[in-house]
Amino acid sequence: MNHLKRQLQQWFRQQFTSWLNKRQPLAREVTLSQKIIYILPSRFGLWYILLLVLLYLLGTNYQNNLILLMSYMLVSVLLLALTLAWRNLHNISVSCAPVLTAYATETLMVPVSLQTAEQKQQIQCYFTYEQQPSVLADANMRAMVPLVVKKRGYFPLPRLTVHSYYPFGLFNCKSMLMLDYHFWVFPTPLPSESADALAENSGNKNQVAEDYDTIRSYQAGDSLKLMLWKRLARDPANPVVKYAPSVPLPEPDWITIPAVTGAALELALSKACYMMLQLEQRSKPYGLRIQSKSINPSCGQQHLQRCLRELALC
Amino acid sequence: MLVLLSRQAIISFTIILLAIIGLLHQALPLWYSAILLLLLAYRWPLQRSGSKVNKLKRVNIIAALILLLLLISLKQSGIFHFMLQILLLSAVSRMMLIRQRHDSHQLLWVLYFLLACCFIFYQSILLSLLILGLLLFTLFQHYQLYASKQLRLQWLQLGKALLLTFPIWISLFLLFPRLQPLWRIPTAESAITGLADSLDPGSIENLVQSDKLAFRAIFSGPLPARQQLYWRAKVYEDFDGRSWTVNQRFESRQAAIPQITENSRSEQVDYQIITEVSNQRSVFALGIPLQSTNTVRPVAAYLVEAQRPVSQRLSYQVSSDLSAIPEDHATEQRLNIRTVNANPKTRALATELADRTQSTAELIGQISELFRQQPYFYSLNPPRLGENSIDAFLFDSRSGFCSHYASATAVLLREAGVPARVVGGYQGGVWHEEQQYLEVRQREAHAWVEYFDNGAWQRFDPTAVIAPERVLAGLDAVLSMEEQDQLQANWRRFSAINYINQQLLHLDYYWSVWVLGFDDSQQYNIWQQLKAISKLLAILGGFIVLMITVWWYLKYQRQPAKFPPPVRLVRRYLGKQIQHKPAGQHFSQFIYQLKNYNPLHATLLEKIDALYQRALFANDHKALLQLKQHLKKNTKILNRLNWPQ
Repeated sequence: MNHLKRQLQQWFRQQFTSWLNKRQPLAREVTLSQKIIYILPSRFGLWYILLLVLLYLLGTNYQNNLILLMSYMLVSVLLLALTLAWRNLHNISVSCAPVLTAYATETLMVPVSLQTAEQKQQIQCYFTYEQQPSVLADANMRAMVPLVVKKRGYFPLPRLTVHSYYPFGLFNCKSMLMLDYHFWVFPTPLPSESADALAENSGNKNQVAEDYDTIRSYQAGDSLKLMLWKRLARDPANPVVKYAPSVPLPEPDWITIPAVTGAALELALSKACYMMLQLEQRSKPYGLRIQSKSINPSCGQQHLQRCLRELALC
Repeated sequence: MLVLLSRQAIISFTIILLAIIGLLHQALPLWYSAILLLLLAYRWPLQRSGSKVNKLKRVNIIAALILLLLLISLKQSGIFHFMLQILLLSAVSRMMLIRQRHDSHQLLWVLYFLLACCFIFYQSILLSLLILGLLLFTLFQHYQLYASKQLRLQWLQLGKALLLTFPIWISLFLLFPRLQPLWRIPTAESAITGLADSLDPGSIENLVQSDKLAFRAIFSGPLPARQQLYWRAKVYEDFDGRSWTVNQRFESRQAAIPQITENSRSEQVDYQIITEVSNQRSVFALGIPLQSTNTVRPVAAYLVEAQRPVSQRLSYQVSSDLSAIPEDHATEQRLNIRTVNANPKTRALATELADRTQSTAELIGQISELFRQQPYFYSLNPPRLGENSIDAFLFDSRSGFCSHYASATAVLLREAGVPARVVGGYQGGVWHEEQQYLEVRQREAHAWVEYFDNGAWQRFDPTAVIAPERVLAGLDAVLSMEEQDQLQANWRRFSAINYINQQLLHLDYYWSVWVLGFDDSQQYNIWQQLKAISKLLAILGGFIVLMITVWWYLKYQRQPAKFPPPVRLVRRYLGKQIQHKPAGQHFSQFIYQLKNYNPLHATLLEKIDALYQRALFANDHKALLQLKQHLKKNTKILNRLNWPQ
């Protein structure tokens, strides 16, 4: 029975989603039009409708025209709220930032921006119902909409709900938008002993470099830390720096993901992610080997992104 | 989502609640109002400190205790008042705890309901407008809850929106189907006004001291003669030697409802009556009510009564036949010939008169003669009468008001063997020519006699014999100066206050007729009229639709939508000049040329060009907005730009 119920729910949700998709094709920027704005009475709106019915009955039973007048007035207010709610959402263009990244189990803050020609009031956005909706500041119509991400990977942005209770809170005027954006979820960085050791190690190497005994003449680009200041005072014409020719270029670190699956793989990926971030922080070149694939050692933000994306897709 | 209420909102809600408590004071015992005000006052210190929140538990306990008190006093207040009290209690306790927007939903709901209930107590135009104002204030507060605080309120837009709702509102009122009352509803118990169920020798004198309105009558035909305007309200058939009371047959609701026979149509009068609140069932009609709207129904003795005690203004339509009232029940004659063993002198007189006369008509003539020839006086302040009141009046004091004469005549007739009864109601009224309605006040209260003769109940008004002016010209005509002063009518008539008062009464009259008195029959008429002009309406509607289509076509088809918005904007505002732009020319070049022709407006044109470029090529929304503003602001200048022929 329970199983059947769940299946039925699933089926309905699928139908609903496909219906929504049919109404609104995927796009980078969506302008809210009549076709994709849905207006439903809120809970308070239903109570309000009950009030209207009760007032009509009260007016009828007491044969009191003034109560009837009042109930009709509230009816026209209801209709007014309906149109104002629709107008409030009408003609808004919704878009968001192109590249979005986050680490798993983190909250991804998606910058959503709304563009309108008119003043709009009290518009809220959210991705999932459980999430606290973000209220758009009225001045610039921008909001950071939180999105909780669980699994690593490359995902399309879920349905963004833009909604408003304006005016009177009687109607929930909303639009569920499918925006053509994707976001990356990288594995959660997990500190591990080996990674710490690695980081420690590379730190030592740097310290070794301080025990320089030879000097060479200053070349543009040399660190001022290595400048021999005392000597410079004596001979300002020829600045020299400490120099250790025996120290080799730091050996590139290869981060290898073992050929495991399941929880072990996730653990390995998390550790690798942490290590990568540590190395990047210290500007040490690193390469990545995942089974058949390998990325040659390098350094820098772009390289990090590339490696992290490989981890996410692994 | 947690949205805290602003202090201003809480203050406004408190003001509304206080006003409602004030308006509903009739339904609230004094102690209860005091408790409600105390509870509201309790809210204030909390608001000022801002940190402490009232504990839900504490409020619940207080509310439960008050509820207990209310339940104890349920019998006194009645079920309707009890409902109002509970609603107020819930509103006030919600008010004590209110902090965030979500809490205000229940409060608003109850406030709307209570405001509607205020209309049950008040229907006069001034108070109705006050309540309507309160309702609008509540709606405004409601709107403010969900509007952005940063934005300034767009009054113009809001006004436009309200203007749009107005036709919907009015047409709903005029056209939405009305139902008959669906079930019996509890009514509030209040003091009754108007004629009571018993008629003492002094009761009518007390009633005429009041200047209050009893009812208004609107005739669809010409106004009948004043001598015909005997508004019957009650029939007194039981006499105990001193005072008259209404017989029990009127108590039972299943009283024999008289069969109305269609007879002489010549004397039929159609009229509408709008009665004021009396908290009684009995309402007013002339002669034999032939048919009436279903808010009232015929009862025994050809009277009419409302379906429920009149606790708010009631409007009904009656057609009456002004001839004598037929007998409605076989026992009616026997009922009205009963005599009591009192007033021996009167009995002797009656026997003497009966012996002297052959027919009932002659007897009536003799009684009239008696009143006319003997020194009888019509007075608002007759002396107090003893146990045998009729004897004391007829033979000692000889001065009395209409009830004295009516009751003495009825007793004389009964003792002489003629069935007779006293009828209470109103006589005459003040006719307002301009507004075309008859205003009947409590001071028009009157009593007269009906006796049975020629198979029907004939009317005999002894007052008309003593003081014919009372019937022909109204009460003031027969009273002495002192008595008029007593009624406070004279000085009022000439003061400005009275003038304003009278104008307000007229306004109130129109209010009653058009708003309060609007009922399903009038609605039916409107539908009929609409149906009659339905073809015209259809043509008009078709024409409007056609116009809109043409307008739309002209607006959008001339400029195909393939142009982006900035281009459309520029085309609209620079339409005259842009005709001269060759097809291949760039907009900037065109502007450059235009600048040369109009060096005065160079800066403006440059600005427009810059905004245009940004809006078109950088898809900058802000620039588009600014462009629109600039173009709109300088429409006149742009129209007058030169372009050499």
